[in-house]
Amino acid sequence: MFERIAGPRARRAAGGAALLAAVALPVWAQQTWRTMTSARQVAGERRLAVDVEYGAGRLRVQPERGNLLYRMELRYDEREVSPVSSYDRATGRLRLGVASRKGRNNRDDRRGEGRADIALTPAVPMALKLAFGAGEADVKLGGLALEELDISTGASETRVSFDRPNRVAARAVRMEAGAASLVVTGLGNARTQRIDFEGGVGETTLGFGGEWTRDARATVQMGLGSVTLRLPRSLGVRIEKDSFLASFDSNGMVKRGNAWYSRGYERAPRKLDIHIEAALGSIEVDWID
Amino acid sequence: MHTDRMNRGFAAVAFAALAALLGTAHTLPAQDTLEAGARPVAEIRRGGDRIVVGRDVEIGPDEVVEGKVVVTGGDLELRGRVQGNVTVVGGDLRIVEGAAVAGSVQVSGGNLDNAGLVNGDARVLGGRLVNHHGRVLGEMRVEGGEERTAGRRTAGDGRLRMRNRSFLGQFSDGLAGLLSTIALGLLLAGTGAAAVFYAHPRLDRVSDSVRADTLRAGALGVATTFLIFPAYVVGIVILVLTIIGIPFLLVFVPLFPILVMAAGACGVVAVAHALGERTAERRGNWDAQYRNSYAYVFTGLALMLAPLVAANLLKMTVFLGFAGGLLEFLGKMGLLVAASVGIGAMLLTRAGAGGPWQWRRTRDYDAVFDGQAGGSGTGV
Repeated sequence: MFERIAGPRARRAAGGAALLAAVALPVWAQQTWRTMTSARQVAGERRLAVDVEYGAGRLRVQPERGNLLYRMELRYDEREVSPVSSYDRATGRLRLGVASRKGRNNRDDRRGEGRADIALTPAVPMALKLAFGAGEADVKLGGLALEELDISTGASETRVSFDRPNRVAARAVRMEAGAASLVVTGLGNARTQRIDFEGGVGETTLGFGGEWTRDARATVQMGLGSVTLRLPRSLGVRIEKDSFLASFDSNGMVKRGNAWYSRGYERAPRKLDIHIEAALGSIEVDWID
Repeated sequence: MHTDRMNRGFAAVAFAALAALLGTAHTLPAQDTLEAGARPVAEIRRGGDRIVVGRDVEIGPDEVVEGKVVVTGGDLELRGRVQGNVTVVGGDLRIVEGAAVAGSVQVSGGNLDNAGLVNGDARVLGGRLVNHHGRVLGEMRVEGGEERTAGRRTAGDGRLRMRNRSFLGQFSDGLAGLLSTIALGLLLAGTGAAAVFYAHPRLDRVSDSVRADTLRAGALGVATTFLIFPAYVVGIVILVLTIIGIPFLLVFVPLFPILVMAAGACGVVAVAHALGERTAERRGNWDAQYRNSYAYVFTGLALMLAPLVAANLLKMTVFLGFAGGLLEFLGKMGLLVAASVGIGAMLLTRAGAGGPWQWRRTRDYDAVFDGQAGGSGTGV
């Protein structure tokens, strides 16, 4: 019996299997990259609800400069994902990004070769919901007309910036980061009264620079990691914190009661109240002129 | 207007297929023309549809096509109106100002220049779409060619650039991995040499434990590995809660991971020693004079790191990147298992100082393993 198993036939079978594996494995590992550009012209839209979902790779979002409602350029692995660009003119719902193919766990981009460049019209007010999985994202929202913003990121390195004032006042800005590095700048330009951030593990910088046109309230919830709050000196800032094992560097703020106040808080034309909940890590205040 | 003339060789076949699709192959109307020759040309007009194969087409400003227009192997210049869809295969489509398409337009293997009005979608496959102040009420979509890769590109725009980047990227990744593996090997070899020099009897006992009680040591090592992080967190919490322990956090927080890594390295060294010893026993006696614990450790480390070295060499090639990745995974898993078994063996032997396992060693193991070695090892 043993001789039969280990005999020439078995050796041939093993050799065949090895050959098959040698051929099959590279085929299995093969990626099929495609490029796709999708765009639509503005056609009298009054309001948009934009959902952007992108699993892994490099994502760039910015305002559109021409007369397009949106423009999306994708490079994607056809075996892993399929492009999504659907628009319902009746409801104003626009969906962009990629969707994982059934049974596939989007491994689109270990080497960062998949990418999505998305430009959105600044001419139409919109509620933007952006879900980003893993990779690198550069989200430039300055100059758009955002009525509402909802950003969630997974294990990623994400930069969100409002380099110009929002064209409309946003009802709320919500951000959620998993195990991520997140840098947000120019939150004042969002022209919102409510900013909510929820972070899991990672390093987060929230920059509250920009043109403040109203008072606002921000909540920051952080699990494990560091949060740096970059605050303009002209803003009256009040910070309340509820932390377990998180250090707090108030950088010159004055503690009164349970809260820390920026110097000249009472005289400041615009005020920002920040409530922080942090479990383990550090909270740091950094002033910007 | 540019057309890829090579496509026209396939025009006859495409014509038959299109005609079959439209259900007209068997009933050609009287006004249809079919010209035979080196350049197959055909035109069908039926029920408002217009299908042209193998030549350029112009639809004049006063012309209205009630149905669809299909042109294959030729360009289409649209100056009038089309009530249905427009499809151009292997040619360009130009929609001039004032022209209109009530349906969608699709161009495969050519370009679309639009200065008119398209009520539906405009799609281009393998070409470009230029909108010269035209209106497209639906989606404008351009799909590029396909690039297949198993770490390399074979087609598509910017092919050369991507291929170069991919090759260099893979080569540098592999080289970096190789250097990391060599650095890891040197670090472990240094740890192993120090362990042999300063604590040879202990290393020997742990190594013997690895060989005699591999499964038990592995199970204990895995259990310990799972407990490391909770222990770390509990340690921090206890130090914090005791208040006076808070200053000790400065030592505990960085020291604990270092100790864990050191334990893992010692575990790997012990397993390497065991592996080297076993390899020496199986080689016979021809190199008996070179056998000592240094040689055992170095041989074992070489065997354990060989898959990682091979993996990085494979990753430096363009073609075998996947096999390299697989081998790297197996190599790292092997190291992880070795570290777990080694840590378990150290716990079993109280870091080689003795322990429950000592009884088995003195009664059974010496007779079995040391006997197999034929007493030829020179030791240290």
